[in-house]
Amino acid sequence: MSTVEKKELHDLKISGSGTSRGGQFDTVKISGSGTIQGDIECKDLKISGSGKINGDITSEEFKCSGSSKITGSINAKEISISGSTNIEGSVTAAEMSVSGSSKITENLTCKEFSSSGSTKINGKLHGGEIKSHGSLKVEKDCEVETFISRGSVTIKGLLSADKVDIKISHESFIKEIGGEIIEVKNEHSAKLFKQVVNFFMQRDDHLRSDLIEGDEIYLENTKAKLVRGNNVTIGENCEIETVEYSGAFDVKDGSKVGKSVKN
Amino acid sequence: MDGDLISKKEVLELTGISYGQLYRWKRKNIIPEDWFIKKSSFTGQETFFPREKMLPRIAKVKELKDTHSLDELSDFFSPNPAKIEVTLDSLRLQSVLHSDTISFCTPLLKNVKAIEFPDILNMFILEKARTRSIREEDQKTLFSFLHENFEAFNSPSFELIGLRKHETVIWMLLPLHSTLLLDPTAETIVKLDLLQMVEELNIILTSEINF
Repeated sequence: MSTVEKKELHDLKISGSGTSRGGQFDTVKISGSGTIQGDIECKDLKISGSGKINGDITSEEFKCSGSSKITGSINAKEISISGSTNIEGSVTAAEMSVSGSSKITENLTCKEFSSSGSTKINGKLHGGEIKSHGSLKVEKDCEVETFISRGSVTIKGLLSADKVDIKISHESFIKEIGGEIIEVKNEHSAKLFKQVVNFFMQRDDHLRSDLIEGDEIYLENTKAKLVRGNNVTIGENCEIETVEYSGAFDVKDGSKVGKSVKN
Repeated sequence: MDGDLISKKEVLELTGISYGQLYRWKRKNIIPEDWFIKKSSFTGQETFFPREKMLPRIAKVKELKDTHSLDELSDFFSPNPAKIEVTLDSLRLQSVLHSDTISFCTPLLKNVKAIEFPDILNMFILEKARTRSIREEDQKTLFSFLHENFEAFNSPSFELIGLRKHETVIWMLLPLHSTLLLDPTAETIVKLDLLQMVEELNIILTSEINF
């Protein structure tokens, strides 16, 4: 057995219940309940049942439509999750889409990320274009080029992006926002039930934030301590303690601004 | 380190850059994260920067941003230097280093055909130190000291200090921003921020040489 010889890569299939060691493969499929012990390197990895990988994954494609748990990190070109995935390491991907639920214990670095389910990241989120329709939680900073969110968003650190486009339909919190164009709007819920509940509870969903800094800022349904920018427009349902601006400033009726300072 | 800080607001006013630019440059690590110093003020929290570093950095970025992409700029200021290999001749031809420095260092180098960043950096540092009338023997000691102990790729956050008392010169590397109390009869002959050297050389190499 010479190791110098170029190895032909084999496929690995687990259907039913089985355990395999890690290694290098061409295609890996888990369609029952399978466990892989060790790091795995392959062209594409599909989990459609319940899979557990005790190691790191390096793969061009990673698809999970069942439930999976990865104790290591993932490095892939394309990741798509439509079931539930728990990743205990970090994730690096060119493209990632989540339509179920995913949890990442460390950082996520991703050029294009879209989520229509729920995503929780305990580390930082770095990326290009982030789109979330659903719930997105980031425990640390979120530094991206474009940030688009519909639904609810919680970022406990700084959200920094060239363009921030948020439509709120649930209570949201972002500690600090910084960028060029920042737009926060109230998404008028189409769901009658929610409208009725909100009406009787006298409640509106808000985005709370400590600091919002940008060149062009438009806010609705936002409660913030300090808003700073060049051109600042405060739309409906806002409560802002202080606004500092250098260009134009406008407040719509019904919004409260404690103090506004022109620099 | 606490001494001379400048508030974010003041930075924007003085330099004319926008919030968008500031945050973008931060994301690209053109302005390092640890320059953002948070302090509580009457408006809640305010961010400050070390003045003597921030203003020159922004001036430099403004000067280079039209001719270089943000990613290139991010590489210039990156503490992880570019991985390059050059010959001594091209360093001489492109006048990155004086020919004096090059001929002085040639016997000390292992491979003259392919010089990598750490060695170029060490020569660059040596060149700066050479201006202070230091004996050749001590220069050699400096070069081999840096060669063996200074890892530009891993931890460039050091300050190089050269001390002289009578005829003896002592070289040392101190972590950046540490205070050093000195016996008054000794003289500090060299004091160089090596992180800054890495940046300077990165800019010279990337913008002036086309390999």
